[in-house]
Amino acid sequence: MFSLYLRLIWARIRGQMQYKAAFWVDLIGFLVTSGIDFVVIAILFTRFDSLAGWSIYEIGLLYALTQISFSFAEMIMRGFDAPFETMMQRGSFDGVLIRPLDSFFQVLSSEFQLRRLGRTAQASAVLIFALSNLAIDWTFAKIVLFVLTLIAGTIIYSAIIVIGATICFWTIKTPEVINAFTHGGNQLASYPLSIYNEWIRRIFLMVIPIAFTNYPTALVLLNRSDPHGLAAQIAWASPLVALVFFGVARLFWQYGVNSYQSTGS
Amino acid sequence: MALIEVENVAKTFRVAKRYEGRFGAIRSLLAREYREVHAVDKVSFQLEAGEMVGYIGPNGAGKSTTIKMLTGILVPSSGRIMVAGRVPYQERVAHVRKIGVVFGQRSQLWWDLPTIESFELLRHIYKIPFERWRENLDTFSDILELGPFLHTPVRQLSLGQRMRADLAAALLHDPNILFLDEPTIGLDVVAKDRIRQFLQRINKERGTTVILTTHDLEDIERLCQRVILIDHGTLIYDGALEELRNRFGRERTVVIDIENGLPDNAHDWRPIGVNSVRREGRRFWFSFDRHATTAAALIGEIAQRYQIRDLTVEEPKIETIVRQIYESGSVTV
Ligand SMILES: Nc1ncnc2c1ncn2[C@@H]1O[C@H](COP(=O)(O)OP(=O)(O)O)[C@@H](O)[C@H]1O
Ligand SMILES: [Mg+2]
Repeated sequence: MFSLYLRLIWARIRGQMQYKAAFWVDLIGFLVTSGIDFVVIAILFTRFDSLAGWSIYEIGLLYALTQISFSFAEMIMRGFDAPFETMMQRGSFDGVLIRPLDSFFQVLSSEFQLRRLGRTAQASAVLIFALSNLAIDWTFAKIVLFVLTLIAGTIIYSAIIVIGATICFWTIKTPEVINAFTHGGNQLASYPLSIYNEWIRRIFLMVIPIAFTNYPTALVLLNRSDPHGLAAQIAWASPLVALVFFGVARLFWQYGVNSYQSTGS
Repeated sequence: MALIEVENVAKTFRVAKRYEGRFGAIRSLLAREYREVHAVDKVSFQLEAGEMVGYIGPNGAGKSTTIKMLTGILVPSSGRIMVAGRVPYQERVAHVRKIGVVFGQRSQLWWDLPTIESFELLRHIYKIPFERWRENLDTFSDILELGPFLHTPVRQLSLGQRMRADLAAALLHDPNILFLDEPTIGLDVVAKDRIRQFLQRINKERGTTVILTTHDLEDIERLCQRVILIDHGTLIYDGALEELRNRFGRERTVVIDIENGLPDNAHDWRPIGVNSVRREGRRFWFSFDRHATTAAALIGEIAQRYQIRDLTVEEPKIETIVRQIYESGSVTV
């Protein structure tokens, strides 16, 4: 199955490479536009020394963790993004259902957006900038937690993208609300969770668990404590939270497929 | 047990009222306002293995919807479908492994890649043994003349080439049943003919059951002995094509372009067997009963009066046949 995945993705990437110029323009475009996000934060810090007690470097860590996960999710889950809406509008999901493979697998392997590496590169630069200015006493456990958090974050954003795609089975278009959770959530998560009111904190911890992409882990890495009493050790639950959330998204997807109506041509 | 059993099958689409604007999509989702479209309405028929059947009807009759239910893409609203002992949508993966599907309007190939690479990906997707795949590919390349464009990206193929490539792609895994939805739409006469010949061979040599939809009667002239005719989602005829034509499709039309110099009485003249004459400038339409005269005899007669520049013979349109079936009172709806 994995070798078939690689084969299909490789076919897709070669397809994209037919338009080389567009590829590079997009890659650089993502690098620049996503970089602007952090520039905005940096400008804030020319006015204030800290935000809710967090330094620019600490914010940089939050930002990089959530951004890197987001860029991975966008790269891997591209098939469920805009191309899936097009698929729904044209009724070409029909073509998925006539192949002897799981539909989720097929959509997953229908696209891979290498050009989102622009965002990964930009976020990695911020990560290096942050880490080189922070005195984190790295232990083996902290390294493991750091890697697990990136994986969990990728899974959480992936699940949100799947939920957005699934709604297309009924509406044809992904609702704007989903963008609010991916792009918007990703921006909100660039700041410490503690600055938000209780409702937003609860939603981001328990309903759409975007907070698990960075905040608890950053508390552990930076030896900080949450002013509202959130235990930093909850960071270790990130992979579990991510898998449960993804499981729900996957079930929702199956339900959506069974409601597929195709289109009248 | 027949290979394909369709029993009282209906499909009703509930089309949600769409809202525009920023939160339009979510409003459409929450609003429970629907319009119902009865695309297929209690259709029943059976197909035996090895048959080649034309599923015909005017645009919007419900042909594609039926094909989508038979292939497992859509779940019927009611009724029962069994294909080779399986309910298509319930055992989708096992079902589609054994069938081939071609949509005339939409290619199932990888758009940006050379044609041959689609065939290779399909080999892996269907886990076709290499030897068998090679053998099939050679055979199809031969009959359909795929050679010249095997290394051309699909998006650069002409409609006819694309259709041939799609046909080959649908048959690489040796399906027992081939579903074709408007396989000749938009093709020129030569391309249509090549595809018809290929289908005939596949059906004969491999015993593949073929069901093809069309709204063009000429498509099935030479291909199918049996036709199933639907209109507004209801089955109105199931039987031999020959009989359908004899009972409801007797009227053919000879279309003639003549040279300059019309005789004065051009309007009145009506050869024997001709039911009606229509004229626009130098073009004439002579509609005749195929039992009263033949196209050849009629053309001969016309040629004696006029100098013919160009001519074609038109088969009755499906809409005409449908109308005559209703008029004859042989459908009770
Ligand atoms: N996915 C769909 N959603 C809503 N209406 C549909 C859908 N598919 C088909 N229809 C409607 O059902 C009827 C039959 O369509 P179709 O099966 O495509 O007809 P045909 O293939 O014979 O032209 C048409 O009125 C069409 O508009
Ligand atoms: Mg159709």
